[in-house]
Amino acid sequence: MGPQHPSMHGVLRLIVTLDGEDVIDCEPILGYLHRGMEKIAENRTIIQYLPYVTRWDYLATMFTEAITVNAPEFLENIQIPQRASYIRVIMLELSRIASHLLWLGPFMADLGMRMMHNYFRIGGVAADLPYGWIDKCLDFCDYFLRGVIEYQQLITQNPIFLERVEGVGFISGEEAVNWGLSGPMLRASGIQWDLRKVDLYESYNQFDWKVQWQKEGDSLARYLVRIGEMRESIKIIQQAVEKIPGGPYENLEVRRFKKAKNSEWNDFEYRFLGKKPSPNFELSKQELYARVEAPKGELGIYLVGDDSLFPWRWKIRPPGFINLQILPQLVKKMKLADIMTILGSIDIIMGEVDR
Amino acid sequence: MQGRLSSWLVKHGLIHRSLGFDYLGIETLQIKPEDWHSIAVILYVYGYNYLRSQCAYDVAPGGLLASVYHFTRIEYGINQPEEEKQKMQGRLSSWLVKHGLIHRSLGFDYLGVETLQIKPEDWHSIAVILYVYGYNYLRSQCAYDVAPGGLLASVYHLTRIEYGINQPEEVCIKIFVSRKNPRIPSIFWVWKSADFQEQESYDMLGISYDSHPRLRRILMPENWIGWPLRKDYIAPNFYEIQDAH
Repeated sequence: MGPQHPSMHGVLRLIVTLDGEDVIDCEPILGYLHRGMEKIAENRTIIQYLPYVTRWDYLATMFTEAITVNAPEFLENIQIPQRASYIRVIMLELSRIASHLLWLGPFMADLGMRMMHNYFRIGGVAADLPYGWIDKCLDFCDYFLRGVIEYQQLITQNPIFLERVEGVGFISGEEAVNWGLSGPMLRASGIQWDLRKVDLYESYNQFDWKVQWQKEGDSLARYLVRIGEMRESIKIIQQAVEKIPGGPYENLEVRRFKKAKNSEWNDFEYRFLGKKPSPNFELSKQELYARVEAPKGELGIYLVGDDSLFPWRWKIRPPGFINLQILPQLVKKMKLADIMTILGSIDIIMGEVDR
Repeated sequence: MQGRLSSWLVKHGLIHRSLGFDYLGIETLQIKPEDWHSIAVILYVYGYNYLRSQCAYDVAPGGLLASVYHFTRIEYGINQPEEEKQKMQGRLSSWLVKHGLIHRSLGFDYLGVETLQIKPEDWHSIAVILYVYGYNYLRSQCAYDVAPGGLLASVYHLTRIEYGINQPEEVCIKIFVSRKNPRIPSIFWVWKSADFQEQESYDMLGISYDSHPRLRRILMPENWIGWPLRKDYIAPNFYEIQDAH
């Protein structure tokens, strides 16, 4: 099955061995969209690199920006104002909804949009929310909830859909952990592992929401997990929009001089650069692994800093790449038509698989 | 009436059959021949360090033959002196020292994740041991170039997935190899999520992983020459300034 096919999964080539209608083996060939993102990162400052990151997962662009900005923030111990953190959470959850909807689109019907935001900055966000945005956001939430209920009635009770999807592509919890899956694929197999609850980053612990999971481990379970996540995202957005504090939206005093590392905010010793982070943002010689819960799974960055403007190693851990490993195992003994169902339920984006 | 070791093995999903207890109350288990070498390592790690006796007998005329192993654990009554010396040693590091497994502790990374360095020869056994210890999720495997003209490093981030925990245990393992002959044993057979990731490290940096089922270029075209992510890599036919050390 060649690199281009009409169902918009991106450029993925599958070499499928068939016996009549049954699939014996399947080998995915990647690399058609490889752009050398990691090598490029070694020669760009973080600000220069931000426009690149939206091209990894172009449906949920906020997550790629969030992780690109979070990794250096952890490295340099930068605190973000509360308001910025809430704004980020709202944006992330909206982006998660967009990604799941777009997954639902080629999976079922036709809708979707693609936006390159370039919105997050180190220390906060680039611009504050415009006047009236919050009311529009709340209206969208109500409209969307009704839409989700409508989709559920159309789809989940539909016997044709159920027959195509139930029992297809089963994976057990133990195997899912061993293969390194993450995100809805892991949660659909009974493992309640959600980085937003486990890692507690970005003020997610101030909202009241539950981890969505299912026990069955087939494509239907994955579908239900994603629909459930969309509803939980709406809940989070409604709570965040209600509780959002005032205050600054960006931490302007982002870079301190190395000597005064232990000083407090308003101390006499506190020194700062009183301007927005320009290309002079330096990474110290430490390394760390930062991660977020993207809609596709665990998106991680392993950053080795170098005491200079450019990172020494910027390794992207893409959820789609690791979730795709299990495809050959899932399609064994399935029919040819099920391959697309399984591929769709794994929810991969070639932009981040190949980078 | 399941014995203690039997319940522990069941909890870790190791196939065996419990044969009850013998006349002096010793727990007896039956293991399949195929599983024996891995379960033997696991029992050793569990703590049975003394093979007291090994014998064999004929079960029935025309029937099976049995090979019998009696294990026990010999322990010392005093604390080992290593534990007192290095106070800043991470928890996993102290556990490995206690069991005599050679490694070097590289301290902690910036978020407090313990980092250990392991030699390539020891890696496959220590990988099994870590799996048994509880690290069941290989989060990310990557590789990088330590210094121009220096070593190559292969990095593994492991964590334990469990229900209902905050701040899960994690560890970062690094293996350093020379540029001339970079070979590391593959741990695909322990954690399957290393499949594509080791292929990518091979593709980008040239570290070959022994006993990986299909090690080949995954992102670059099959006939590409050179290891792109090395610092001394020069992109061919690219006539602008390149930063190769």
